Amino acid sequence: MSKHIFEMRGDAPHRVFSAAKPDPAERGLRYPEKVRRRLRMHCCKETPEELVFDLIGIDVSIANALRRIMLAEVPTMAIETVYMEMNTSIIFDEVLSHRLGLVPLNVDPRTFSEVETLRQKVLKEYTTRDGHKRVQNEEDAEEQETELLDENNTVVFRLHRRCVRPADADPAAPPYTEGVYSGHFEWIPQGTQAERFPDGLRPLHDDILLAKLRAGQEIALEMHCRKGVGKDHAKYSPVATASYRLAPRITLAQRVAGAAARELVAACPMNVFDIEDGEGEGEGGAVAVVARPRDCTMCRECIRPPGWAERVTLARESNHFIFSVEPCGALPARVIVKEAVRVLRAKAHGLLAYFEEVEKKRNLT
Amino acid sequence: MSVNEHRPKPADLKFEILEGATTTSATFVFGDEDHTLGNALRHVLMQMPETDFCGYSVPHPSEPKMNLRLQTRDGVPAIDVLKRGLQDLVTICDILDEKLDAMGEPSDPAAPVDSDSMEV
Repeated sequence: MSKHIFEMRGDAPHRVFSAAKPDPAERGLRYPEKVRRRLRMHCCKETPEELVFDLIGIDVSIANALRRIMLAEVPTMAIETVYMEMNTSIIFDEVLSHRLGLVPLNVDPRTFSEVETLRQKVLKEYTTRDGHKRVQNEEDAEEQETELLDENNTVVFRLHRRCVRPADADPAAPPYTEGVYSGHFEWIPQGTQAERFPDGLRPLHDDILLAKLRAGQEIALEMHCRKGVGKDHAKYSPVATASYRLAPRITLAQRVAGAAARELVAACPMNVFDIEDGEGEGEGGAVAVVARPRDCTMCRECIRPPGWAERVTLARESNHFIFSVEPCGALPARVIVKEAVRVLRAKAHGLLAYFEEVEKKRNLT
Repeated sequence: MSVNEHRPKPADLKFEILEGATTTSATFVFGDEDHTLGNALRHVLMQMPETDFCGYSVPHPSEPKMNLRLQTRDGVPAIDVLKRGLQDLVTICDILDEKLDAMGEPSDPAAPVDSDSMEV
């Protein structure tokens, strides 16, 4: 068996770390070139709700980096600040603001930039020590934290609902109430946004209940949305979840036929095995085959009865990842994966650029 | 900003070499990085023939820092190996990007990909 396959036996996983046997074809190649030779991707399922793909031939550390980035570091837009003008409903300002923040928006984050504070802007313009000093010399610390908002980093929505009891309402009916929904958001274009987004910006779903109003109650507020990442707040995460699992590899070490085959098929709760007509007569001709290895959850039910562990081998491939990405909607799953790769690249590239800058400065002095 | 909002402060330094480093062995401190870059970079560095030892740690989860220890062979400066490692990581990301663009429409994965012949 290949060294990438480790067995799941009755007690524990076995042979998880086995010695590497170098491939002669790869002798002398640098690591990225080896990755280029080995890496394969295959799309298994793609719906608006889920993307399932195979990532084969890469180390777990990089697969995990992609997963972590998809969850926490791919930016999206979400409501960050709420200016409450009127709230006479029973829901508290803070709770309402929190609910508003979690509303997914149909805004492509790639068309917006991140909000910078004055301090960050100054630091970026003067990456020297002087820039640092200049920021620190600013007397008003609060001013340094001023956020530079403009049409390129902020989307504004308004929400104004007032519940008015209809004149013809039945006095005997239960008290009149109205719901406030995400569909009631009104987009207030800033600057050139109206031309940039001719179709308008809105929440992803119009039917999210945010609050309920009784007759005479009113909610009036303004919301500012900005770009952020999931590690700051979960509302910015572009995915409902992103996960991977190792591909199961199930083999039958012996021919399993007849009553034994039926026993095997019945033992598996995930219905991994099938019975096919093999060679031979009657009962003994029906052999068990591994029909759906991907459905296996490694519950080991099939190797639990005595004697079965020798016949069925349950294993996983440690370099074959089955990724599942469930987007929230603002970005399609493929774009999220692509963005994750971009973010990882930017991390490494940003450090290289930093080293170059330091080198340049050293040569100048 | 809401009442109980906590925003962790960004790291003071983006990159730093810890005291006591020699040319061939050093501990690098990366600000605002975590296991995401740490483990991936560690893996890439460990594939380089010049690397003798490489390990990383996040000393405390509430400090935005990641430490990476790198020891090299044959007098090769550790910082050079680190730069090459970062470059390799960039290349791997480019390869991933290419393969992602080439990834076709959904199809049945039933045809078992034979990874027995593949050695990573």
